[in-house]
Amino acid sequence: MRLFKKPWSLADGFIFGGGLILIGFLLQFIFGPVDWKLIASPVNLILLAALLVLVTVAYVMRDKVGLFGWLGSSEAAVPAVSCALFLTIIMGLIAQIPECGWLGNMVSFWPFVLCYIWMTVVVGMIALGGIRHITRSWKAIPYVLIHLGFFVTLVCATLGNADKRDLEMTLHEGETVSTASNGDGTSYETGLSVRLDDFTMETYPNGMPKRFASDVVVKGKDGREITAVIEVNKPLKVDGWKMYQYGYDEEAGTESQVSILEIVKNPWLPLVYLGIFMMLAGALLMLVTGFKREEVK
Amino acid sequence: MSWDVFIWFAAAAVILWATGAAFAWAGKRSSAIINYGLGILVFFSFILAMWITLERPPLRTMGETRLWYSFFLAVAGMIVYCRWKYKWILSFSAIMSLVFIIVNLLKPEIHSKNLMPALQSPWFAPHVIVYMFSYGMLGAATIMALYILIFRKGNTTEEDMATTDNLVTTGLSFLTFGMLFGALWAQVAWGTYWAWDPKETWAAITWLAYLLYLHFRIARPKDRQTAMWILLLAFVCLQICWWGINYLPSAHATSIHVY
Repeated sequence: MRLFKKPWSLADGFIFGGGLILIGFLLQFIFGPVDWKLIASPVNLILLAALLVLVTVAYVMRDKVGLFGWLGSSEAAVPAVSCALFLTIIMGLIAQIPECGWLGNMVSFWPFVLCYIWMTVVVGMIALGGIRHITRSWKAIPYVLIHLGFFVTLVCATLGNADKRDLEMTLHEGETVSTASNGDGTSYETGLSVRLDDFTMETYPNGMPKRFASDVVVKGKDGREITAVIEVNKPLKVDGWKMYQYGYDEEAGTESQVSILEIVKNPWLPLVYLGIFMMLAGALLMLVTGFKREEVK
Repeated sequence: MSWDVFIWFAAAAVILWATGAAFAWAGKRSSAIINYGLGILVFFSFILAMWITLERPPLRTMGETRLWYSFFLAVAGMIVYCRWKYKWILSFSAIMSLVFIIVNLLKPEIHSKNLMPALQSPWFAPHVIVYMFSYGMLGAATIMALYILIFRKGNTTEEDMATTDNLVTTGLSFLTFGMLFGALWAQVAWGTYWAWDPKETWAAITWLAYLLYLHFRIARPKDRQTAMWILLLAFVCLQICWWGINYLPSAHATSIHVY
């Protein structure tokens, strides 16, 4: 027996997308905005496993269940991209600030999240479908790299975000600090001890800032002291943390003796990088192969 | 070198482009290519001289990015002419370039050598240059879309569609480079590769819109009219991303990219 028998087309896709947006509204009414903190490890690992199983099962069953076959086709890609595009345009037109309500917090707006999940599943299905073609023609390689890379990037960026630690560490010259705080003021022990020896701010003759730099001594887990200069665009990496020059005492200006560092730990970052580099490689190869006309027919 | 002498370089380039375009109409391909190519060289020499004088790539201000846009529009026109031999494309891309040259002459937005710390990065030049090249290719694709919608109407050829698809594919590849270079740079500068800053949001919108075009072409190859309308919509998104964002109230509230 074949479920969802008729071959779904673009029109069905747009109805499907409309349905998703409607369901999203319902979820938003019932549960409020998506609380991304809830998916911190290990929930995100479970979600990742569930998504991979779902996509694989859907791919294997593509000939038996019409809906699944459709999900891996351009007939689904067009409405899925359209819906994601539509909601992202709204996001671009409405300021993303709390005063704008639900639409001012689009990344936690259920219809937006559901449409992006839909698009992610479609991209994953298309990538799996493309892998089969590589054996037949090398021209499928850029196609697979772009779709798979986009899938990996979307999934790992979204799921990994909840595990990301993004903290601010305020340092005064001569003092040693080991804690840093997040946006809402909660203080965390970083396991690092950081001493600011000197903060330098250089300006252009017209007073515009030219360079911010913090001379620091950092002691990590192994107790070894690292002397380094942290500048804008030149972060320091210690024990899985990355330390960025973030701010200073703006009232004191060039005389500032305070430096604010941003301290980031994102365990999913290597996977996001993997996805990004796959997309870059795919885009590069796409320049060589071009838009395949045999696919158009 | 400064903006004061821009008018002379621009005039020389435009005259060479006009000569090249005239040869193209006359069917003299090699003369067309030589003249047009020389025009591109003259224009690029100004960019190069600015780069050396400013001691930084001329990519920071709107005026400077328009300079690259004029350049890449001409380059894109040249590529299309060499590959597909449309007689009209050189004239059209030259006129488009001229529009941006005139805007630059009227509103050069002169800036000094100063580059704020966040922009002092090896990612800066590739990020903006690939974006401008992409905008040039997608600008040429928009010209094709208008040509197909207005002049071709019912009798679009396979060749027209292949040209448009290839321009979009090339443009989208470079758009992908630009966007992802930006993400990699942001990761180095701020520790966040993507923050849904309004500029990033509109970059994603533009990227999705061109994706939509290519997927629609695969799903409905016969419906060429709709495809061309998607292309025009995508170009509007691109313009909002590039400069329109400066006028969007939603972006003013939060963007670090407004300049």
